[in-house]
Amino acid sequence: MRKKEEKIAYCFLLPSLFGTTVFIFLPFLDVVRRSFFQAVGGTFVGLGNYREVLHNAAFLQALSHTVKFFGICLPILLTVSFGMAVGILQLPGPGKWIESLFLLPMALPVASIVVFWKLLFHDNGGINQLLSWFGLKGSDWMNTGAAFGVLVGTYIWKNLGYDMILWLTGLAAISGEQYEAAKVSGANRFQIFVYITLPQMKTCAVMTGILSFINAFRVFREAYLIAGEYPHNSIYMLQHLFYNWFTKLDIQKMSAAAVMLAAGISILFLLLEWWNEKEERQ
Amino acid sequence: MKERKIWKRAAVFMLSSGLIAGMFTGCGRRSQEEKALQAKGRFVESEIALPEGTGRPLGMEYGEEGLRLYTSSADEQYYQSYIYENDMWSAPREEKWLTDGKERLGMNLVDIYLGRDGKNYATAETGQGIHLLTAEEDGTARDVTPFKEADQETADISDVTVLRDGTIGIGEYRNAMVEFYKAGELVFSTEGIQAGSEEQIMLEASDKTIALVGQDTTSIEFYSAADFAKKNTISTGQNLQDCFLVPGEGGVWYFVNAKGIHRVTEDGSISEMIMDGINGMMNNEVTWFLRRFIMGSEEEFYGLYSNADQDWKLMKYAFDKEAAAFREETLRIFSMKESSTVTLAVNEFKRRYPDVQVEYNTAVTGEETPTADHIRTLNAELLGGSGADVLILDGLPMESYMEKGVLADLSGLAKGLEQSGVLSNVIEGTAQKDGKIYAIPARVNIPVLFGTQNEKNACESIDSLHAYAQENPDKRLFGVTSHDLTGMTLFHMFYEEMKTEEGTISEEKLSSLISAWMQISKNGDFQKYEKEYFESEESIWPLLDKSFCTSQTVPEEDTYADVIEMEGLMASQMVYTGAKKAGNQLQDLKGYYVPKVIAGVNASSKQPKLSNAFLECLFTETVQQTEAWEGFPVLNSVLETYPDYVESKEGQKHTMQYSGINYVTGERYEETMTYPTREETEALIAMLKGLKSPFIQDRIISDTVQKELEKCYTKKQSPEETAKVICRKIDTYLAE
Repeated sequence: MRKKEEKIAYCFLLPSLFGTTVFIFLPFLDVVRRSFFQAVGGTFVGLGNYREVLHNAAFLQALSHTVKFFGICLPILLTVSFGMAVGILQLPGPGKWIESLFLLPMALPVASIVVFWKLLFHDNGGINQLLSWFGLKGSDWMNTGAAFGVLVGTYIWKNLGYDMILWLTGLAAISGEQYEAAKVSGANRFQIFVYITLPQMKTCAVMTGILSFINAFRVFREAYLIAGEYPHNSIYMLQHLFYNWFTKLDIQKMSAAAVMLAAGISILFLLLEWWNEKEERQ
Repeated sequence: MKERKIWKRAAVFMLSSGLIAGMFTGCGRRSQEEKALQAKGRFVESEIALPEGTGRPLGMEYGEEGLRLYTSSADEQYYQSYIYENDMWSAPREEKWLTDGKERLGMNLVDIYLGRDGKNYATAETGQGIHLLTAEEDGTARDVTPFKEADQETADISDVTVLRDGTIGIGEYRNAMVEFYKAGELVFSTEGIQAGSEEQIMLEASDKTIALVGQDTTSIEFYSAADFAKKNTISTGQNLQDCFLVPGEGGVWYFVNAKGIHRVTEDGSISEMIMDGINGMMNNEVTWFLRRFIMGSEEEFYGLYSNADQDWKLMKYAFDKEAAAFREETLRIFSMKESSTVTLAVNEFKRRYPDVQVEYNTAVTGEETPTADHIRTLNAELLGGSGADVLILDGLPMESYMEKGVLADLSGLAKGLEQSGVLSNVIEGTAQKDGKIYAIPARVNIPVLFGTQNEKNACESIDSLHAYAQENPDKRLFGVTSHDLTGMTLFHMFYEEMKTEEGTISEEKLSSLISAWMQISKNGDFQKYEKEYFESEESIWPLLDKSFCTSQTVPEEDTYADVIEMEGLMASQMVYTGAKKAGNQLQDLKGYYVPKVIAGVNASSKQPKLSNAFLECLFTETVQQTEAWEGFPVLNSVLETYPDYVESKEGQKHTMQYSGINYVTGERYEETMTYPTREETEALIAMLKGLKSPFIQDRIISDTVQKELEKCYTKKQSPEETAKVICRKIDTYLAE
């Protein structure tokens, strides 16, 4: 019976699987192939492209900035969004409209956000105007180290609502009876949170973390539209590098870097998955 | 239950199949060969030789007798016409009314019109404007200009049409108005297209409808000829400046522009191209100008063209049922911006290979500036194997393409071109790698330094520039310039000096250069003059398409220096006039030449032979000798004609007038610019042949520098900070 159900399930999955294979997996296999060849012409170079990328100063710089960005953004986003989810859960029924409010940034088109950001952070923009009222000197925000903070803020602002919804889903899955039993046993709110809520959110945390990680790559759109192909160093990330490599037709480097990136992320996700399963078994 | 399961499975299977099948839509292709064999019929262009021994063609019409061509007599004493019938011209018939207009009324004929009322009309000029004449039965001309002031002054008529009832429609190009007069009374007027010249076509009429070119230059407005009620406006999506409108039958209209011949309907239901301009002379705007375009019988058209030398051609466009709709072979050419040199070469190529379809595509049109997105689009095509056969590499990452094997080896072709007289320094210096040549420029700009000696010396190095700026706080170093022109030119001038061994830029030297530039700007009081004399705060540097340009005209200062990138013999007039004023010879700028119209062949091209043939066309005398303002020719035989030309009567006649403002006194001054002398021209050609260093502006570096210099100039950051930011960005770019 289970096998039969599985077969039917696969039948329904087939079109999507087919599309994913044709439009994502197969092209990626082509990328893997290209990473061992010259850009144009088909000359096999073995691991030459990988060596070139690993010794490329721009790649190392972009990688470090990307890792820094992820290392700062993700913990802040996950923590803040989780805290807000917990807080919103306490709100009475009519207060639930706040959830929708936090989802608005995600619904805004990138172009609109860029225009707004430019108005805010431009030399003659809103923030500098505000500072001048208080006798303070403004700055060209997107061309100084402050650009990193702006990008982190943009990412967190945009994804806060989305992550919060994911957390809320996980929180809602925890049975209310457990909380009641804990209260009856004399546990205080902190103890309930630490011993009942947190342990049961591990799976949700992994999933939210993975989705936030993927969404973090999308912040390139805002960074590129606001600050161009060569922004301030602090926000020069891997996506900028890939974009510029494509302009120069450095496809071989792009492919090698993409394969390494995919491999690194896959290993990370596999480790997370393994840890998650281990926790579940426990 | 079992039956239900079968239905479920069937539904799942059908849904899945439908989805999968939908993904393959469009994947099937009929072979190109099958298509080519099946489709026949297209418009073809053919030339009709003009009558022998005749004078200047003036206009034409198509009436009951067929095509009638009006010309002056060979001695320009009278006017005559010929009928074209059975592939022959009739004997000339004197057009007495036109001659009468010239002799009796003292008017020189401008254009001929056949009114919808069946009468002949002509526009003729006096010293006081354009008049409209019509032929009387007795062979005299009658002035029927609908409006005249007491002193016979009339408006600047650029276009005329006459309706069936004799109502005269006038297009006035200066105030962009279209007016209709009946028996001398104004019965209708409206705004028309802003005419670029007095030859602008603004209106046309059929029996029932009047068509006007819209003010937006892309639409056509239709009005009723009976009561001038507006019928409809259609958007053509085409540039209608310099187009010709032709009425057809039954609400069908035609218009011709450089893109080709188009058919539209008044109700907007049809808008199509019936002949691609690339297959006709209308596309050859650089040398041949379309002067008149009319329809004959049943979608047959005639176009009268002239060139700068007052040569004329009459071309016929007719539908040939037997001609293949698709030519077997297609050659695709791509450039970032439109190039007149390439257009000339395309026409030369079409002349040599009439059976090959040529597609010339550009990333942008008009004044638009190409961006990195256009390069990425091209790269995607190149990677997919579908890129153009011939690539014009101006603005493209040529070095990268050479490294990646995108460009074909042109060493064999280059050798042949060298033997036929193309400059070897230009062939070998521009795009050579590992002993192979991958691209060849069809034109070159020559950057030169000229001015008074002291000021020229200041331009030797960054240190000398600095010293001059410090020692001469009240002097303008450069001529009629602005901060952006000066800043970018200085950056390019000293780029090699600032480069380190690792290939990056020295922050210290760049900082010193920027400081010197700021001092020069301050000394010259650029801010004051830019505010007073410049219309806009926007930088004009991106529009110049040059790497070196400190001035756009001859200054009036006593002492100055200028660095100008000369883009041809005509452009050299300004430079030599300026150099004469400074009492000094001009000199080359560090041996630089700026290659332009750099042509390469796509290594994946399926038409390598045709691609090479096209490249050969770029270096023919026909193409090289035409002044296109895209650089000097690189063909020796053309360069060698220059010394004779500058001394000839024609060369002496070609002067340019300039009126400028002395930025110090604020007074206007006039300048007449002439060609260099024979000796100067010979020296210039010798200089060109000795230039060894190609300078190709890197768009990324230039854009970065320009943005940061702008911030420094507006005091948003110091020269040191600016240098730091520029170096960091350039380092990142070069490190990639």
